Amino acid sequence: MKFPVITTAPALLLLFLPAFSSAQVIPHAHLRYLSIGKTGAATALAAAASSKDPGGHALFARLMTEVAEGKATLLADQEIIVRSGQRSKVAAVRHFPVPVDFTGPGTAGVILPTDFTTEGCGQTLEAELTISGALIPGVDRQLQDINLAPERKELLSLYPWPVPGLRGTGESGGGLPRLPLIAVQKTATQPLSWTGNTVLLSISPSPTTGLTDGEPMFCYQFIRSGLNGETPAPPDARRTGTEPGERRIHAVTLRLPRQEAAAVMLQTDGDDAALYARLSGMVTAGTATLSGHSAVVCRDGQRSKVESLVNFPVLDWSPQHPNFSYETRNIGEALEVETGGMTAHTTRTEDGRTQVIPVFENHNGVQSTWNIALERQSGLEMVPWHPAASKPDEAGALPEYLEQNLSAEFRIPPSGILCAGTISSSPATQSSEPDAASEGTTDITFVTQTPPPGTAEEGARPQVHLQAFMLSLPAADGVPLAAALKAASGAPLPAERWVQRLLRGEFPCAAQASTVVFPGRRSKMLGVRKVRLQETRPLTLPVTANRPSPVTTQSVSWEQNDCGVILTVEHGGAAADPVTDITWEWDTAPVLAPDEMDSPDAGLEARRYRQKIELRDLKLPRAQPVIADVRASNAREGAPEHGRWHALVLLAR
Amino acid sequence: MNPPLSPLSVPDDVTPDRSPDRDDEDLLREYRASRDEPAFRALVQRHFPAVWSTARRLVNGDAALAEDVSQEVFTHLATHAQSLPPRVVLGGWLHRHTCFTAAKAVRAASRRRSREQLAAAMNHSQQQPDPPPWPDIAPHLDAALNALPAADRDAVILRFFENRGFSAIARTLNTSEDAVRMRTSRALEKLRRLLGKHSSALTAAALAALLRENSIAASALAASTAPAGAAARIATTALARAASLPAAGTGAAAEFAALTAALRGARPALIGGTALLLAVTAVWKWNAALNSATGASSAALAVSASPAAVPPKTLTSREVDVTVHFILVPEAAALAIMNQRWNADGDTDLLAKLLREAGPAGGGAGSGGVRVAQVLTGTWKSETTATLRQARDVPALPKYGRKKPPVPRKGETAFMPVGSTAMVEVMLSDDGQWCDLNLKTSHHFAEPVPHFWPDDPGGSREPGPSTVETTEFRESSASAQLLLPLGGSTLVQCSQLPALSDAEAGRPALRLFTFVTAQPVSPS
Repeated sequence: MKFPVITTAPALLLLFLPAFSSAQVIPHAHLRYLSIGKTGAATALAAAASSKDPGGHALFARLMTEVAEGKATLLADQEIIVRSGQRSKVAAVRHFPVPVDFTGPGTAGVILPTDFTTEGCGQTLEAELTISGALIPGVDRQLQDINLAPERKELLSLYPWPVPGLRGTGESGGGLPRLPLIAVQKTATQPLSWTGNTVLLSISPSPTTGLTDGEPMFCYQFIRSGLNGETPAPPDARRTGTEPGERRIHAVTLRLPRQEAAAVMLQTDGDDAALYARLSGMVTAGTATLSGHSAVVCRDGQRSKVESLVNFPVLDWSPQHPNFSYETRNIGEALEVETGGMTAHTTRTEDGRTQVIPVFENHNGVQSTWNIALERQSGLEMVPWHPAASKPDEAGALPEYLEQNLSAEFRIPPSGILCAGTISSSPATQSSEPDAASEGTTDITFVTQTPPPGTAEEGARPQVHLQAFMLSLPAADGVPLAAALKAASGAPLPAERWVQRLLRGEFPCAAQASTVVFPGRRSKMLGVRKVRLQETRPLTLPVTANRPSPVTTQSVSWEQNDCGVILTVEHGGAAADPVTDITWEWDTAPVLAPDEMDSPDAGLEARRYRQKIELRDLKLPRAQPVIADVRASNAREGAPEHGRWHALVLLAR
Repeated sequence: MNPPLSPLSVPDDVTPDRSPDRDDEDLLREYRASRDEPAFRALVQRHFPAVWSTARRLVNGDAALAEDVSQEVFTHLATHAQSLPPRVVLGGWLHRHTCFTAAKAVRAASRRRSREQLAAAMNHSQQQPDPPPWPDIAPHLDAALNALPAADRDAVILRFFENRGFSAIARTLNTSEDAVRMRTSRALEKLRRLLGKHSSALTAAALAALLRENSIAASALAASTAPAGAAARIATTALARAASLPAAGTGAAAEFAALTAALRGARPALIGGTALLLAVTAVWKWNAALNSATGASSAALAVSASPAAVPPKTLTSREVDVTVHFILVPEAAALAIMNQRWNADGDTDLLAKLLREAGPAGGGAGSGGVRVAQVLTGTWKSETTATLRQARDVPALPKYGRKKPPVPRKGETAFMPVGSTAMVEVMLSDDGQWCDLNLKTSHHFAEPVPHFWPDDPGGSREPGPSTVETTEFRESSASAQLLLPLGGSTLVQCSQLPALSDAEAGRPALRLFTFVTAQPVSPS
């Protein structure tokens, strides 16, 4: 066989230089990561529902101008060279010593660290790059597939954690170990880009937002990529959108007073875009607040995550275990998204092996479902506890904080805006929500997609937005309602009349939750306060050599309890009227009166009210509220819900 | 349809100048000294046939494209003559430069073709009847020549392409006639082995005959298919372009070279390298200016600079000097730099600018506050890994006993380096034009800050009667793989430096720029 005549110069060089030659030059790119902080809700709300600037180009230009004018803060700016097919990493950090082992208080009352590790506080960027030879139509530049993991750690302060045996409880700090509070912001995603393009990677609340008063700050993370040898695409040739199969998912959480939120959610007609516009207007007017906003770019078949957390070293201690250590609590917000609906089929290859091929229901993004996990922790406060009033020297403090989780799978409507869940807050133990005992708040979470899905799925909305409202009724209403429900053999009763009475303010909505559930899937909305409660159990000490007979005593421990609302919904199928399994759990947190702060807490447990309602194979009509359960509160005297009756209203849209 | 590859031909108005009284070196010296136009025209007249023929072979017989390549090569020569090594063998220099310029042109053209067209072309070529021997080896000839050591390549080119006698070659190469005969014979054998893959029956004698018959010196003046007057036109254009471009080896390039030499200290082996640095900087500036002047779009290029953008270097061995610069830039200036650059043509200019800003000693003589934090330079053989380290170890994290007053336990203190480290793995391309670098750099700033525990809430950093001490450091590190054209520089990373709590309150924020530069080891 005659050797083919190869006529290109690179091919010639390849013939003679098989190991490495100029012909095998692999392109590389400079990737520049920027994080810009901007205070205020207006920019964040606009970015979440922007169909005019899906790529974030205009937002980047505006924020950079504001950085120059001092109206925004450049939090991170880092660049690294990355070769196609390789991984690069750059870090600029301060190695801060963190104590991990301590001496005991001793007689001098001074605790000293004896061993340390280091925490790298600063900016790190890890990137992997694949450059495709294909030119992107419209910009005539090479496609860059970027796998990114930027991380920013900031040392916020050194906090004097209260230690048993020492007075101070975090105020003076004299003689106490001061441990670092470290804020962490991370993004892990895989955007597509080209030279001259800027991609809005993610948005996250500043980690300090929940720790300080005033308007929240949101951080906008961008990536700019320049392929060596390519000049940027001219401005008029740039595409303003994202690449095919690449979308940005936002989770926007708005906070309203609970009664107002209940009224809004009961009256909405299912137009989530209109609802978002209305609530955004309330934020602008100051009658609602933007309590969270996370967003991240995600592509078909991939998973992306953005998180903004503060690592709190929290004392792990109990009166019966005088040795102490610290464990970390994450306070902040994290959003993880991936395209759902992935199926797989197997095929047999020529050599007889079985190959699994993943298939996405929605390759072009139109029919895609999204799996979303939104985790939020906020309102951390150190609550002083007096575990033994007879030993005031052992005063300590334990942390409490709110946790909200939404995990669901759903499709986003053509408008690009979906109301994905609501959750009412559990009352605070002490001071973070002064009005919590009387009313409390509700967080409403919207999930938006930029750019929005196409119109191909117009009208296709198989999922159900299931809302649950717990009405707190006086006995005069609760007793006959329970009887009526019993007479109906447990079949749901129409609830229109009760909803109207709620809207007129005749009785309050004690708790509220909702989530979106896709046919055949399960969704969960959780909103609880992590409360440390003292648990006392009888303890019998067995006979030993030094103990001739058994001794009965008490075991005292401090356990973390989830006090709040947990709503779990499972969709039974794709029928017009959804058949669902619903589990509603409600656990009221014991609320301390100010004058109770210095007293022992033995009665706290007695003031809890716990409720769990399980409904199976419940067929719910759409857009018609029904009463599914009525029961008397078992709260003890002195508890907020003592003597009330509770009616669970469900509304499926 | 392109004309067949053989016989090669050149215009009949470009009979090579073979005046015995003025060789290449004389003409080049005259041109360098006084920009003597006749001297340059004589050089073009003398070498255009070889350049054009080489280009035509490499661009698949496309005569117009071969002329464009020739134009670019001689323009480069006109502008860059000042920075050529003193005793350069001009024929070899031109041949290599022609190869790379032609390769660049071919790549640009080939990327415009679709995959199907390429496949069709390949199929078509496979269906051709058996070609004569010369077409078999012609496409591979220049690559094979490039694979030869520089001295062998020069000998072959002078003997067979310029048709010079052994005595003339000996004078040019400053060696004996016997040595030239031996070298030419051995080079021919090496070339035969390289080309033997494509023509099994090729012998050294046959190869010599083929070269005499078909290379430019032998066939030069057969029927012409190239445009008449090409050499004169090319010389005129090259001179005009050279006049409009900055002269090499002046201005920023000279400053850059001087600064680099100063920063490198008194290392004798590196002093020679500054001349190369100077030349390289000038070339990059020239190249950028040329792109601008010709309106050339770099969109079709896959890398920061094609091989053709870099002057051919004569490697005496497969060794390179790698330099890592750590430069601190105030935040405002750094932000302006980052917002303006799109890294289209490498970073040599940016490095030169920052070094210029830093002043001769690198310590921030300029008003901009730029200063060179550290420079690490070393020589690597290809396919080796080595680490440069200029740092001292400082005790950072002691372990204390539980007794009071606390005393650090012996032998259990963790140390941290203060200074710079660069771990570099180098792999040179076989053609010696590119350098594949696997790079890990770190720069620990020499500003350790003590912390005393328990920490005073007021922020004081004074030791107390019963305290333990730790030390805080700041580090910027990067790991990356990259490909540099020899003589080029690139920005590896740019990072904002995190402030050290209270110690730097009120100081301007800084960014660290890390550059890497790869240079061929100087023949001297």
